[in-house]
Amino acid sequence: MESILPLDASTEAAVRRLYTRENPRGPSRELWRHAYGCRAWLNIQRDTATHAVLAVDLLDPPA
Amino acid sequence: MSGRRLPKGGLLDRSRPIGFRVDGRAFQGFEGDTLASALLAKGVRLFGRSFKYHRPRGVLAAGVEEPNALFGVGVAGRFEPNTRATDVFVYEGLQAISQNRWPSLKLDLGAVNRWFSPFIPAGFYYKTFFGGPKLWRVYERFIRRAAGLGRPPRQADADAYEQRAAFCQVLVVGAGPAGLAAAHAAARAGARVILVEQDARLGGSLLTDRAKISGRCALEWAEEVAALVVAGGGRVLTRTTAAGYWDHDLLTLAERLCEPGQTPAGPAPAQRLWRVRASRVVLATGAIERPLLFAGNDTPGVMLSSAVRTYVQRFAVLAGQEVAIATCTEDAYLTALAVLDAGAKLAVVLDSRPAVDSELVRRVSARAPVLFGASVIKAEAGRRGVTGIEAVVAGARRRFDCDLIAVSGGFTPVAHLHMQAGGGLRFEEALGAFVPTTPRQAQKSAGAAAGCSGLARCLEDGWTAGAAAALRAGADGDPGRPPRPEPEPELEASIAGSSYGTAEGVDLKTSFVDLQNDVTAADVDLAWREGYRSVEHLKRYTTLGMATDQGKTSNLVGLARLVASEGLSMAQAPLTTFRPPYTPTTLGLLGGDAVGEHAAPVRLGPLHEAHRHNKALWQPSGYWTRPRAFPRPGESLPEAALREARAVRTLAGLTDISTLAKFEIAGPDAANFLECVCATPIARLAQGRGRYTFMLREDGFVVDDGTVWRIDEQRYLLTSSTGGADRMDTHLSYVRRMLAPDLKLSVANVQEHWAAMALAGPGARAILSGCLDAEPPRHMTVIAGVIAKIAVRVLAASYSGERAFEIYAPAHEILPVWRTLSEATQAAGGALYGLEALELLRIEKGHVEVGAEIDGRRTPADLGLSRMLNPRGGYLGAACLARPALQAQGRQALVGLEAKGPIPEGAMLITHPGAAPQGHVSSAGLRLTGQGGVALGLLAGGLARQGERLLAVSPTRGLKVEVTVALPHFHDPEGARYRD
Repeated sequence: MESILPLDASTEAAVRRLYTRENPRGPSRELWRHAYGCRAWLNIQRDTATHAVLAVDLLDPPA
Repeated sequence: MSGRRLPKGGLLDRSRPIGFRVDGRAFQGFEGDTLASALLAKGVRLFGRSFKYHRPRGVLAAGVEEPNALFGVGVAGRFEPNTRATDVFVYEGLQAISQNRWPSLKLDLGAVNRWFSPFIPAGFYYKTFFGGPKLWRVYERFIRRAAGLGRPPRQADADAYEQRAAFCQVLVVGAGPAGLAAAHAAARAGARVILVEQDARLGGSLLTDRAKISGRCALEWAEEVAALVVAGGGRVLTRTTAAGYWDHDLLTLAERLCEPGQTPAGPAPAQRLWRVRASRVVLATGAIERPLLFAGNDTPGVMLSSAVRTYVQRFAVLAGQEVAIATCTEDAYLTALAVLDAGAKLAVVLDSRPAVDSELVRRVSARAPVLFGASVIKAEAGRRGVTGIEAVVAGARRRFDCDLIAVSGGFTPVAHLHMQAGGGLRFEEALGAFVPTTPRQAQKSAGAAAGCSGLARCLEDGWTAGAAAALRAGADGDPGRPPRPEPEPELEASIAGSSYGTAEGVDLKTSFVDLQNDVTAADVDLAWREGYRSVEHLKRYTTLGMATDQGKTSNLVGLARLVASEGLSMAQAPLTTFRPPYTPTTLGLLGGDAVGEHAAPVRLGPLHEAHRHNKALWQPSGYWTRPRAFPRPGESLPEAALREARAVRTLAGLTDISTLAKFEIAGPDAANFLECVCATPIARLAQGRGRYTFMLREDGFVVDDGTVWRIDEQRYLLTSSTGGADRMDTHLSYVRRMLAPDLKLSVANVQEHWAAMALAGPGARAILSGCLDAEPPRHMTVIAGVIAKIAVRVLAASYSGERAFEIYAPAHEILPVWRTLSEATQAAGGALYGLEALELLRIEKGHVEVGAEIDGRRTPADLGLSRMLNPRGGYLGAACLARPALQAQGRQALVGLEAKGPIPEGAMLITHPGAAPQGHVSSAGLRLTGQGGVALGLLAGGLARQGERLLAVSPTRGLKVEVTVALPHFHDPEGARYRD
């Protein structure tokens, strides 16, 4: 997923991902966490214009 | 001449008279009356004073769209300001006061504002109130008094509020004909339905215009529908407003269990907030009538035509005895018949349309004059309100006596919820208004809300929507057939028509568009002339539509005028954004039971009772509650803190550190993992040893700090700040799952498993020896041992700057350990200490703290920690640390500050008065063995400026202290007091 910055990223890649990332209007892949519940990590595809949730992937096992 | 109660009729229980008071005066109404109808029945004409000009105002409407008749209802902790008199049903003992007037409604000194009206049009405050800060303080006092409508209560809210969640297949908003038909169809089809209605009764327009549906009285039919819904496992909620339509078909409903100001029965809540997740939603929210624009259209006695009719038919109140009707719709002719049948004199019907012939028109013309092509110029006003009406008819000026003007400027479908759900609108020429089109979520508008006219059409439209919704929601039973009304031409009167213009020569300064915010047609034109030509600018410059009624009767009128000035058509005009709530909602409802002590979860440490017993002063620390100090009788907090800190410096002290974040990390890759999370080397740590560490965010800034201990060959204990514990938990999980998923290890959050205390001071070692069964550990070493028969872990680390030991035990076994060490410490002359003393100690020592120095804007170099960075890199944040901006010279860096006396924490650091700040004081303390103030701060250029004299200023506290830049440690910089 574009938003995850690997530990071995270069400075240029890090700056790009943190500060100059594209913000498309439409479907976007995002990382969510069920913080007040089971604390599972979820891979969610969401439409940034309509908030419609297009797909949900539970990253297994939760931790 | 004024209003009176009709001897018969209305949906009231005349056997139940109800006594209430308004402005101290006693009145009587009946069960079923609103405050407005009960007052109108007694001939009251004056209901309020307008916001800016303090013009006398009467009731305009019969529903929640009422802009004028605002009262403060209730007393003390149940007082609700800005309550619409049309939206509160009278109850025994109701007390109401009028608003925005002084000393009284009748004699309001605020009325002098009308003499200043040329100087205070819309937006005048953008062009006035100039002159520096001192003059502003003068203006502010007057502005604060003049601003706002009602007064808020001063007492705490006496009511309880409940919140509930519900689910259904079909949610029907509105129980008028369309909503009832929709609920009927859906329930018949087997769907679970929730039907909500903001009125106290089901029926909507059926409460005004009586009809027979499917062979029986419409209101009986309504009750049958309700029973059907309930039998199908659904709910019928009255006095419930659908306040907002949110994402994924979640709607919030605000249910009133009692009227404003009324004491709820028993322990019941006063209101209930429902969060309903529906599969499909039918919005049968009706349409709101628009007023007409003419001079004096805000005079008491000018009312919406449908409201006049509702008062007659539902409340048996004739609001005036000599009525004039000004209309552009056919619907107003129903009002004409209603007032005639009630015994009023109908002076004239002024219809702005070219001549129309229909059954209804003929019926009315047979009993009263009907003039077509008429444009109203003004309402004439006397002492008690309307006295006459003047219009232009076929080019000639005509004047009529009257004491009530019923206006109908057309109907606007209520599309609020549809728009909140992200729907589209289409301009309907015939209605002169916007109707809902493409929905974005599961909503469907029906009935008048979709622009339908006439009872038959609304019933059919509602039924279709309900049946379709049930099917989409998975209920595939037979919805039956649409309910049929008994045919009557009256019931098919059209709501089509619009009349936005003003006649020639009308005084625009008294033609009101927004009655609640006193915005006139002249103001709308003024905004346009000054260049505020988008609807967003019009709204904010004139405040049109920004009052508590949110422009329900005014938005479209203002928009039409703007659009005409622009030479566009309404079809091309955008509207401003619709936002929840639909009608004003009390904050208490949104708070529910999360108020007072329950506003946030309360987390108590395992030693809470022991601290309470020792009379601790408490400090909230995130969700935790920790002891701030243990003052002796007669001691102030600063005195206690100083005594406790000095005890640690000179002898010994014991403090509770149980709430610290703690994690156990175990496995072959434990050290590797820690070197991803922490920016310092970890792998070289020998077994049984520990070290200070800190963690970065991805952007290179320090986010937290703590310690790490190698308990065993492949097992580590990581501690970090209390406040950042939840964040660190997520952080570790993120690194574990996303960045280093192939490492073999497990992470356990043991924050609440282990309780802990710190024993610090020159005498700490001796005290611990006497309690522990083993030799106390050397600095930065961890051992296992036993105290009071409990197995403990002892870490030797110093936060205070003295030799110190942290004693860890399982939380459920901590009490005997605490008692033993506490007794031993105090027997040796030491003291218990709290967070305040801990602050003084660590500041003097020069330890940075999360929140103060570690504020999310500092790199390791800024805090003097760069020599501790792991030279191998590879830790989170390493990539961005290399950014040129984070390596630049002149960044704000950690310094120490000294002064003769106390230094104000948070003060700005400047070179001379008037200079721009170059840093700030992040933590301020005192010399514990000596005199003077010491502090840590962040200063541009850092320690390169050592020795420089600066000023620490706090203008809000009026403080200015001379400080000298020093090294950021004031006590034992070498650590000789605890190093071995």
